[in-house]
Amino acid sequence: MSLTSIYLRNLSQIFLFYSEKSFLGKLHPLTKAVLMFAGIAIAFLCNKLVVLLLTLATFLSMALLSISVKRVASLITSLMIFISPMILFSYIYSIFRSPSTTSLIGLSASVATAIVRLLIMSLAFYIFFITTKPQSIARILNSIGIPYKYGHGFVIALRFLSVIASDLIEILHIQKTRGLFIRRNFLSRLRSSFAVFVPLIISALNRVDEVTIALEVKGFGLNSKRSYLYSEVFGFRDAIAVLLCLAGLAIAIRFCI
Amino acid sequence: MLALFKSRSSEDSCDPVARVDDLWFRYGEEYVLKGISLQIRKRELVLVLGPNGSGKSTFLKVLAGILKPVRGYASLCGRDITSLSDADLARLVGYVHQNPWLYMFNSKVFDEISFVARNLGIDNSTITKNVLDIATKLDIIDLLDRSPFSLSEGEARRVVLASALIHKPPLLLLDEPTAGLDYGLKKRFIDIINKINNLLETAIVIATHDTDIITMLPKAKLLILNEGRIVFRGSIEDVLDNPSIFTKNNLVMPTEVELAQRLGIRWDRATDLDDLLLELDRLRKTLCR
Ligand SMILES: Nc1ncnc2c1ncn2[C@@H]1O[C@H](COP(=O)(O)OP(=O)(O)O)[C@@H](O)[C@H]1O
Ligand SMILES: [Mg+2]
Repeated sequence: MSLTSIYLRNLSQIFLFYSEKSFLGKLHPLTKAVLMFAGIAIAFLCNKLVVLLLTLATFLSMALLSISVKRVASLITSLMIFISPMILFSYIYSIFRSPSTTSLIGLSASVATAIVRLLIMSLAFYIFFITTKPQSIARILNSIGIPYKYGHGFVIALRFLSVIASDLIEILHIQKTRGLFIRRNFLSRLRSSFAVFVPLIISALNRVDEVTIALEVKGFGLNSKRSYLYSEVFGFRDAIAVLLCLAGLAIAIRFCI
Repeated sequence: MLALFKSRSSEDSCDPVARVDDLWFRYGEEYVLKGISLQIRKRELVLVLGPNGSGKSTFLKVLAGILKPVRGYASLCGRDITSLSDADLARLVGYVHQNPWLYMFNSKVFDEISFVARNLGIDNSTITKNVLDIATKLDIIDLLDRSPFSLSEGEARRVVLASALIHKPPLLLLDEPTAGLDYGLKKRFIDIINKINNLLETAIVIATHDTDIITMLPKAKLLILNEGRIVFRGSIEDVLDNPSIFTKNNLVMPTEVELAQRLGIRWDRATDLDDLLLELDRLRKTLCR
C-alpha cells in the first residue's frame, strides 16, 4: 500500500512542468528538444559503457542543476522499482541456464549498460518535459507541421496523467480511512479494487466531460491555423547550446563506432 | 458483563478525542503546517477557517492518520497516531472528503453507508439497525435502495456523511462540507451537523474557507489557520469583537456580519438575516422619502 502510494506520487509528478528559473528554462524549447534527441541517440547508438557513463553524468548534472534533487531522486527510485523485477528475473534465468561465473559477469555488464541507457533516456525525456511549458511543446509540434489539434491533445493527455494519478492517491486515502485494507482474503481484495477503480473511472469521465465542454465553448479546432500571443526567441545562447549538443553527439559516435 | 463494562469504560476514556502538539508537516521542501497545537474534547465542534492553501485539508489528513506528522505529536483517544493500525483509524475517525463521488462504488446506497461497518466486522443485524438509524437522522431513508450514481450533489454528501458515522466514531472530520452548495442546501447541511453534534457523542472538526457558516454554528470553537499557523482561536463572539481578523487573513466577512456592521449594528446570535433585511427596508424607505 505505502509502496504503491509512493510510486503513484512520483509518477504523478513526472510530467508536471516545474520551473523557469533554471538555466535550462531559459533555453528555447527547440534547443531542449535537440538536447533530448542527442541524449536518446547516444543511448541507442553507443555500446561503450564509459561513453554512456559520461553522457549519464552530463545529463545527471544538468538535471540536478535545474530540477530539485528530490525530484530527480524520486524519478530514479520509481524507475528502479519498475525495472528491478526484470533484472531479478534475468539473473534467475541466467543462473538456471548456465551457472558459471563468466556468464554472470557478462550478464552484469549488460545489465549495467541497460540501466545506464535507460537512465540517460529517462533523464533526457524528464529534463525536456519538466522544464518546458506544455504550451511550448504544443507550439513546437505545431511548427513542425503537426496540426494544433493533435499537439494540444498530446499536451492534455500528459497533464491528464498526473491529474488521474492524484485522484487515485486521494481515493486510496479515502478508502483507507473506510477500512478497505483491513480484511485481506482474496474476495475482499477483489472488492478493494472495485472500491478504488470505480470512483477513479467516474471522476476521470467527469473530467473528460468538463475538458470537452471547455474546449468546445472556446471554439477549439474551428480553424486549422491559429495565432500565438507569446513565442520564444531563438537566441545566441540557443545557437551555442545546439552546437554543443551536436558536437557532443558527434564525439560520442566517433568513440563508439 | 465484564467485557461490556470494559468496552464502555474505554470509550468513555476517549477524552480528549484528539490532541496535537507542535505539529509540523511538509509535502516537499516547504512546511505546510508549522507548529500546530490543539486539543479536541469529547462532543466539541471545532471550525477551522482559513483561505485556500492555508493547510486545512492537510491538517485533517494528519488527524485522520492519512499523513504522518514530520515533527511533533498527534494522538487519538490518548494513543499515538503513528502507532494506530488501519482498523483502529477506521474505528476512531470518520473522514468526509469534499468530493463525495470519490467514495461511491456500490450498487446501492445502503451498501455504501454500511461499508465501513462491514470492514470492521460488525454483525449484520447491528449494521441494518445502524443504517436505518443514521439514515433517519440524516433524512436519506428514501435513498437506501437507489444507486449512488443517481444522487444529486446534496444527497451524495449526506450519504457520505452517513457512511462516515455508521460505526459511531468518536471523531468526525469534514473537509469543505459546503463547497458547491447553495444557501438553502448549505443551511440544511449545517443543521444536520448541529443535530449530529447534539445527538451523538462525536466530536466534529470542520475545515472550510466559507465564513458564512460560522453564524450557523453558534456552539463552535473557532480557529483561523493562515499559512500553516493558527492565528486566532476563540468563540464566535470573540471573532465578532474584532471582525477585521477576516480580511487580515484573506477571508471574506460573513454576509450577515458585514451587513450588520454596515448598518451600524453589532451582530449577535439573536440577529436573524430577516431582521437585517427589515432594517435595510426601513433604511431604504427613510432615504427615499
Ligand atoms: N499532495 C500534495 N503534494 C504537494 N503539495 C501539496 C499536496 N497537497 C497540498 N499541497 C500544498 O500544501 C498547501 C496546503 O494545502 P491544503 O492543505 O490543501 O490547503 P487548504 O485545504 O487550506 O486549501 C498548499 O500550498 C498546497 O499546494
Ligand atoms: Mg482544502
